[in-house]
Amino acid sequence: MINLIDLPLATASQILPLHILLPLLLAIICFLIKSSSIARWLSIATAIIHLLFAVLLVSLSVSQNGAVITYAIGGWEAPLGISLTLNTFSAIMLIMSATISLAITIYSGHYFKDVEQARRFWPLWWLLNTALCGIFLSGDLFNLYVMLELMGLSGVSLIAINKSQSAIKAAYQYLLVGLFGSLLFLFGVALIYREYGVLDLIMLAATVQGTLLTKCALGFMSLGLILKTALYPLHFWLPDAHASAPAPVSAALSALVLKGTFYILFMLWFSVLTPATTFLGASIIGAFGALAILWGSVKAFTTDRLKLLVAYSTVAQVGYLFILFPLMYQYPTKTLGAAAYFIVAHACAKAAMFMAVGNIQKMAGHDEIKRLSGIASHMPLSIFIFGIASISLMGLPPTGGFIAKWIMFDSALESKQWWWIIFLVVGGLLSASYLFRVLNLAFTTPTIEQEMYVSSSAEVGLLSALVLAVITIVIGLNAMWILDVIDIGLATATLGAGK
Amino acid sequence: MIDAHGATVLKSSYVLLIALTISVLTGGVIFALLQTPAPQNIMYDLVQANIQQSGVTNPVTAVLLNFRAYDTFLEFAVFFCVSIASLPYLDPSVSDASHLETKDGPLFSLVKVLVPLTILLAGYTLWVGSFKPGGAFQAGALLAGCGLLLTLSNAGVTKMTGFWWRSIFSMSLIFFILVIGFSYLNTHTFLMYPTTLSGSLILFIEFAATFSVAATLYLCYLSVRGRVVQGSHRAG
Amino acid sequence: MQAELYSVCAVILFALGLIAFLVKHGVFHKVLALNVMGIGVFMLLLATSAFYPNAIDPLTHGMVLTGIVVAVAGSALALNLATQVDLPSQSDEITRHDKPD
Repeated sequence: MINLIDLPLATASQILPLHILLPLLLAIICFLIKSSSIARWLSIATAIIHLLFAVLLVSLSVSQNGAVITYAIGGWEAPLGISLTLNTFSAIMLIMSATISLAITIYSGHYFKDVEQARRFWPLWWLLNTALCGIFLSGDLFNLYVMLELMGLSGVSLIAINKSQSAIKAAYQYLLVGLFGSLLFLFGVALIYREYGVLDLIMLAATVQGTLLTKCALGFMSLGLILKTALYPLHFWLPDAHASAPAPVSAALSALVLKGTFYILFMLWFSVLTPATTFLGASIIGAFGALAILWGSVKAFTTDRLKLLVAYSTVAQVGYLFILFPLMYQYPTKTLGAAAYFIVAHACAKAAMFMAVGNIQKMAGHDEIKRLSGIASHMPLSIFIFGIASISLMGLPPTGGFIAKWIMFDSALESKQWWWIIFLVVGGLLSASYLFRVLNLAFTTPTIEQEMYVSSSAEVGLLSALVLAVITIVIGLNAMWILDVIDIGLATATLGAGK
Repeated sequence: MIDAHGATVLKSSYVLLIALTISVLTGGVIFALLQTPAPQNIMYDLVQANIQQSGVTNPVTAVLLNFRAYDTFLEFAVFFCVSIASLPYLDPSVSDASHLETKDGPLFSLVKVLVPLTILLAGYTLWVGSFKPGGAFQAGALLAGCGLLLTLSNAGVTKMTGFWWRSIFSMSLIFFILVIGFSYLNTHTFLMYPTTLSGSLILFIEFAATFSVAATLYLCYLSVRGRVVQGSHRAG
Repeated sequence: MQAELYSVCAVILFALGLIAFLVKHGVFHKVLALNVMGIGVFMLLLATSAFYPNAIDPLTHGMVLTGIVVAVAGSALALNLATQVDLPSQSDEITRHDKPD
């Protein structure tokens, strides 16, 4: 790892704005140039550089012993200006999103054969990346709103790339839901500003109290973000949006976009507006998370389309994320590690799964599960990747999903909320049921002779998906890498407010 | 439940329930609002203290384009995203008649007078933003209005997918990045303008933003209009 | 007193927009309802500056300007997508793939 300790902090922290500027620059370049193949190679190169930046950011955060690094943009300190903040949790989020972005970028190069779609994809894709990095690095409430809007609009535009009726309808519904959620969030921001007069997250964390107006503000912001993260029963828009989008877009939406909105919610609850949170509120959110696991798994079991199955699996997995709320409320030290682990493991597994499924859909021409029996012999790599990703989603060792669930078990026991363990176990069994449904069909021999044209180069684009799937195993075997980084920053992961 | 026109409408009991719940929530928020003490005006004093260095005298422009220029930068990115999404096609091989149709008639004669005046007004609005309310967005909206007038009198642009049009859409971001680069060479901080040049740099950014905003708004109008016109031709 | 009135009216406006968004069907109604909600929020932001004797809070004014631009962008994209949806008849319902939950 590059040693940044020798550089003074002021110089080294300039990588924070650079991390956001790079994808934005590339969005403009990809928009202006004519050739989509140049755009593709330029994108892959930039994604690699972006990943290097993320590695630098992690090493920077670790070298500061987890202290929050701030960068005042323009030299104007808060509350006059906007500052960027970096702690170990956001550093892990950044390296996760950079890795998955690189994998999806490589995959998209192979996926888009239509020139028109490819030319539209690249600039929008880099705008989505800009918004993601902006969310993880932002230190200002209104800046978060603008980033949320950018992420929402670029996500919607990406879904609508292929211009089919189902995609347009799904994109339109997602857009309305996204705008509605953002406005609820902005309403909360307005209430916060009315009460405290500042928008900076660190300053807020120091001055906020649990007044009624702050609780209302937190309620509205939470409602907006929960809608955007698709927690049951506000998940209705997700299956259509994620299933009708092109495969790389589905991967990005499930793996990264949901994590961005969840990150904001999590941070608001446990770093910035903590005095306004209540155990009752956290438990209600956890209860809906449990319902999401049950509902998502049942719908995944009964649906007949592969992409819808994976989308409903996302609905179920999001439920786990929200069970973290009551656990985090009572027992923050361990649960923060569980949160980081679960987010990383799920993101890698889900992205790999969507890429594999997208490949199957492209080659077979459809994604109906019943008609896909025997596909393992035609497309072994896709099924293999699906299999590894499934193991992580089920929470079996030696994957990252297992470590995450293990830590959640531990938190639930330590904080004497053992009832969540039931849902963790049941969730694992249910996910096994619907994932095995796919794997089972994939290995049986077809009863009717099905002609499937699969060229030899069909699975080249899946190499990056394979790497992602392998990563879920690697982080399962080396739990200490992520957990140590989180522990370093644990005391200051609350943005300096302390709890 | 289907109403008389065949469209589905929510059951009135659901409507009542929603209205009731939201009224209760609203009452709660208003109650909480009225209990909160009046806020203190920190920001006005802070801005006044630093406004000499910002290069403009209008405090709102100073906040938007200097102190919190990052938000404005991202706002330009949002507009850029909308322009990418609204462009009908990007592939240059798709040919389309790209010409300015002109027609004579009373509307067009009026437009011949209005458009140059509006452009002048837009330029003034852009320039006056440094000391009075005004600025890039207002000027851009005026220019987009010119475009609307031209389209309504059959003299508008029909194709905005060429390279130069695409540069106009991304002009605000490009100029902003140029300013960021130039400032960085002088001050070694992201988005910190050199003090003597702040005013000119802000005007530079706003100048580019005017054209981007105008082009994007005009494009949005054209894309919606095109489909609505198509739809009515199909239905009619 | 005046400033409190502005804040209360802003919240009521937001609530009206919220109800309209949830209750009304139809493309145009929903986009308009979103805009009304947005205006409610902007009015709430501006109402905080009504508390001050000189009635200028440059931060809120800047936030509202940015917010208006972002709201316009969102509405433009919404209308753009809405006009691409092939309406089966006069109904504006969005048909779903799967059975509704």
